[in-house]
Amino acid sequence: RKWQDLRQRVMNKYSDDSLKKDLESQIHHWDDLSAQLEMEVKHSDNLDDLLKQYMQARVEYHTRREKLATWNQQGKLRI
Amino acid sequence: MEEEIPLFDASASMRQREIAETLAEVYSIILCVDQVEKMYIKDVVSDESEYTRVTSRLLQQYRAIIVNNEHDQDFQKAFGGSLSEFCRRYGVIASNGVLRLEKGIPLTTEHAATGSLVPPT
Amino acid sequence: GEVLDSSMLASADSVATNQLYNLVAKDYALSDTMHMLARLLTCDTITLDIFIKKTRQLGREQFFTRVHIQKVVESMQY
Repeated sequence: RKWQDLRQRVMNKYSDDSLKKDLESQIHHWDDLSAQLEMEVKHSDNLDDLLKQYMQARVEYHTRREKLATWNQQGKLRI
Repeated sequence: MEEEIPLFDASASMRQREIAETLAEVYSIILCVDQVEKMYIKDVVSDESEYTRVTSRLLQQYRAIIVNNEHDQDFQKAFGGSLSEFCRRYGVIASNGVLRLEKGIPLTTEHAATGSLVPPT
Repeated sequence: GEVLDSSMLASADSVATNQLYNLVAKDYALSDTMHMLARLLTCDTITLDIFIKKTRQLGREQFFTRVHIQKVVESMQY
């Protein structure tokens, strides 16, 4: 019984950590993509389209940042 | 079933929507004037006549909105009665833009008018 | 009387919370995009007129986003 509790806690901790890592890597991904899109604007003739993509990348980035911040603050994930 | 909160309720009148549209113009004008002002000061916008042309147009658009809605109670209530109150309500941090809109003339004209660049003799 | 279903309460909370997350993220994203335009103007990638046109567009959108955020926040206070 004790062992089972411990195991469960370890499993939860593990899945929490891996979810958090996943979220962090997604945050990096969207940030990198925004930087890449910004570089692309200089060689593109479709500003509107790139602005739309940039905007979307920043939305994805900030949504995940907020979730991670809340998670870190409250100790639980709210999706 | 809980639903998302809409920007405008179905009951929102055309009048309310119209006021919101106008305030959105005010908001975007403040941001633009602020940016252009900063760019001019930083010498990114280095062409004086271009700065003057663009800023004059934005100031004119702002003035038109304010004058047209001067006696509109609904507008004044939503606007907040003053530029600084509007900025406080909508979290606008744009001191260069606010200053420019309050003075009502571009920086270039301001100096020409007051001669403040010329030291007094 | 009605039986309160806690899962319904939780989902009610999450609809508004989720909407708020998305709106706040959009608000930030609009600011970022406007800053990006300023950088494009600084390095001469876009003209001043294009800069103004796009900043006006994004600015309008940000105003509506902020009005929307205020409305959702107000609704959560009941």
